Amino acid sequence: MNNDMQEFVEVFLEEASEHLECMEGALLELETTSDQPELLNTVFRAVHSIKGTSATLGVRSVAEFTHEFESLLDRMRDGQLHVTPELTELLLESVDVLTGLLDATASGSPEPVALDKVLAQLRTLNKADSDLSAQDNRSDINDSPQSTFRITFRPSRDFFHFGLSPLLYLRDLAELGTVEDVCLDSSALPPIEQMSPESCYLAWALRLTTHRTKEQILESFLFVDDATFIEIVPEPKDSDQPDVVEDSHSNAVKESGKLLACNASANGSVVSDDSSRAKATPRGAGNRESVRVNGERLDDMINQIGELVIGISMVEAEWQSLSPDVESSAIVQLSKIVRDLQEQSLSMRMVPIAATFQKMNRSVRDLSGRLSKQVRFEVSGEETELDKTVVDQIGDPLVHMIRNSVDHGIESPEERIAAGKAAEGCVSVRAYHQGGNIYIEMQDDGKGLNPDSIRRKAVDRGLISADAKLTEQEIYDLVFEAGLSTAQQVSDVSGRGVGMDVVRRNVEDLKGSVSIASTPGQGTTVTVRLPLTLAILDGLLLSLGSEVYVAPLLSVVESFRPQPGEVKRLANDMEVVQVRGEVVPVLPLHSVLNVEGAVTDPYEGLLVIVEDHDTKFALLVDDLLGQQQAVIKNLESNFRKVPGIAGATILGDGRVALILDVVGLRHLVPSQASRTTLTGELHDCS
Amino acid sequence: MTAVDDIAQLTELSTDGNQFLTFTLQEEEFGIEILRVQEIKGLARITPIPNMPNYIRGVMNLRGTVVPIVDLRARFSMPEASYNQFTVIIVVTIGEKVTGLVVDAVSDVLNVSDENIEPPPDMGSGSDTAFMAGIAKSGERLITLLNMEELVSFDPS
Repeated sequence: MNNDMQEFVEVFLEEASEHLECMEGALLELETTSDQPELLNTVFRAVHSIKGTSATLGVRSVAEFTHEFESLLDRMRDGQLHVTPELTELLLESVDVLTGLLDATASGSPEPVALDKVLAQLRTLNKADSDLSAQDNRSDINDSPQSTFRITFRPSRDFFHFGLSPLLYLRDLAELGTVEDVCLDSSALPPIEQMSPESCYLAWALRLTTHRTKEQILESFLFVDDATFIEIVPEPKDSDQPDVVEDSHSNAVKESGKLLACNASANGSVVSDDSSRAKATPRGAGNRESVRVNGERLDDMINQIGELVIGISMVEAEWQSLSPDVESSAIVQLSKIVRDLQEQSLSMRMVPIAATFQKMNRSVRDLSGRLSKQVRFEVSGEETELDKTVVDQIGDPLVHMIRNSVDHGIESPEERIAAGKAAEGCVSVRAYHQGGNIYIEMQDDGKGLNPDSIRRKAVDRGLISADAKLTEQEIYDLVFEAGLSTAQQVSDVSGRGVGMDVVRRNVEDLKGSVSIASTPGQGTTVTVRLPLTLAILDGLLLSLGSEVYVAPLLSVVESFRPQPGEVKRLANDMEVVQVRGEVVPVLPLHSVLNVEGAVTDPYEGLLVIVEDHDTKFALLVDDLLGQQQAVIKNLESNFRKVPGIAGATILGDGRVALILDVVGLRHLVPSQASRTTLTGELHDCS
Repeated sequence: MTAVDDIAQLTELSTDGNQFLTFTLQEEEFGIEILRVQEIKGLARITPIPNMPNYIRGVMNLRGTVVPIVDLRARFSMPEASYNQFTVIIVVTIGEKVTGLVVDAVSDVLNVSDENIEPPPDMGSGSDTAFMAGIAKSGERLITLLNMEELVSFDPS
């Protein structure tokens, strides 16, 4: 039982974090849009569902806080309070506190410090209004006459399994108005020996007199499961709607269809309803209908489909060997289906980057306020989809970079006017696809990087020597080195010099790259390139002795067979080759990887030029076998990290091939002296 | 996760009558707790991993999972035997990791009661008994029980 509870809590936390995102997004929009009621409703629903679940699960701190939060929102919804910047600020702070509380629930960390302060503020606001609202309530009652409904509430057998309790619903109903004639229907109760203590057999009928409408009553039942029966019939005496309306839960969901906007139903069932989708305003990630699936299971399935692809390649190969001249149309068709299936399975891991952009938006808003700068934040391409792992890992670095732009890039309004620019600065971020990669571009129209200042700092920190000749681009790239911060003043915002190198490392861990461009006085652009997915890789198959290795196609520049005399040996046994005037060191792959029986003479093999951060080197291999999409299997899951190897994949014939880690290979070269001396000698040679 | 717990629990429960899979390496008999054994396989194609100790023979495709293969003769510094059609791989689960062990031949499954298991002999600091879990006596036979955690730890030392 305890374990079950834990499971519920986990699902709750996961859902709550989605609700929080949804809330934050809506709140940020609140200031700039005219559609306030709808946004307030969105926030209200999110808070309400967190409140409901937390109360059911007994997470009291969250339940109490959300109660106050909800009351305030309710007042705003009723128009008793108007949206002001201060109020929005308080609401955003409340979201932060709520995030903190949920984190505390998840990890047992201390409750957020701001809790008491924000809670007190919420309470004051709610109290200050209570007199007013009392009057309002009276007028409310006058406005909408009370009506009486007959409500039948028959929870499904599995009601308890969804973590629901009928009592809570009855209590909710009692809060709406006067409940009378409560009648318990225990007719479904089986004899005691057949009774399961975990099933719900009871049903209730009652009369509710309230000034709410039927829809509002239905809202109390938003979170019941599909099989639960709810009927709300207005009593004709008090009402002018004589029609009998019958509602099962699915109707309830339809009625308040916009709920779907940010809520996947608690029990993980598929919610699909086109009319509700039409109603929901498109707002990025939050608004898609979704099915909650355990990530591990999804990965397992993607892996299995990967196996299927390998399986079909094996069938193809076998058919080829059996009847080389006849093509089997069945196999061709099957293979197409399998590949489509694989593509679809991979797309299931993809999530839009909108949530990350939203975090940036919040960051920019808070920071610009704190630094008294005027900043406009522009976003495009937020629907661009990325692998979930990539999004998770890249989110924080991106937010960090946006903070950098606001902190260091954008000048104060006075400075901007003095420089002849508009007082309001602009930070923009856009995401787009290009050639199997996702690019995320962050641009500001601030003062740009100062090459002299970076250079001076780098010399101070001993990163470069004082007389080093660097191009402007090389100087900008120094920003990504550890320990270099160009902030004139170290602030609590950024400028501790731990930022950009972490950003670069994170991006590189994801097999991406980051670059920076800047024009003094006009702004800076940081571009992050990321692979679409981490699960699959376009590979070039290389043969080496009797083994096959896979090189990531992205890092391969070209390949060729050197002409006699093209490969030169340097003093330290290092071999180099000239490619269109560029001197490229040769890496004999067989010796680096200790493979026997491979070609050792460069003129008998092939040179594959690979690139890593503008550093090129040539891999000496026996032959190229072709190009293949490789499903990446990591070696760590059963083994451990291997230097120079990024992972493994399974070839069409069922055997395992290792995937080369181009960055790691470079560090494996046994006799390689440090990079600086190498470049020095290369210059001598050319 | 639960599988591991189950195994731990089961081994604890069946205190008298521990079951071991026994196999031979160069005429010597060794035993592994039976619950660790996932399957026994014939030799399949092994892809070598560069720059590894010689007892790590490489990786194998086990129905889509990439599994490292350890040659136990090499692990115990015994003379190498050439692989043939009788060579078998015992696939074991250690924690959450799956590993294949190359052995000469699998013998049988043995029930050994607790009193017939002796702690590994203390041969002084000079000899390495870390990967011995004990010695099982069964009639005339003496079987070296292996401590899999010690035997197959891939963390670079």
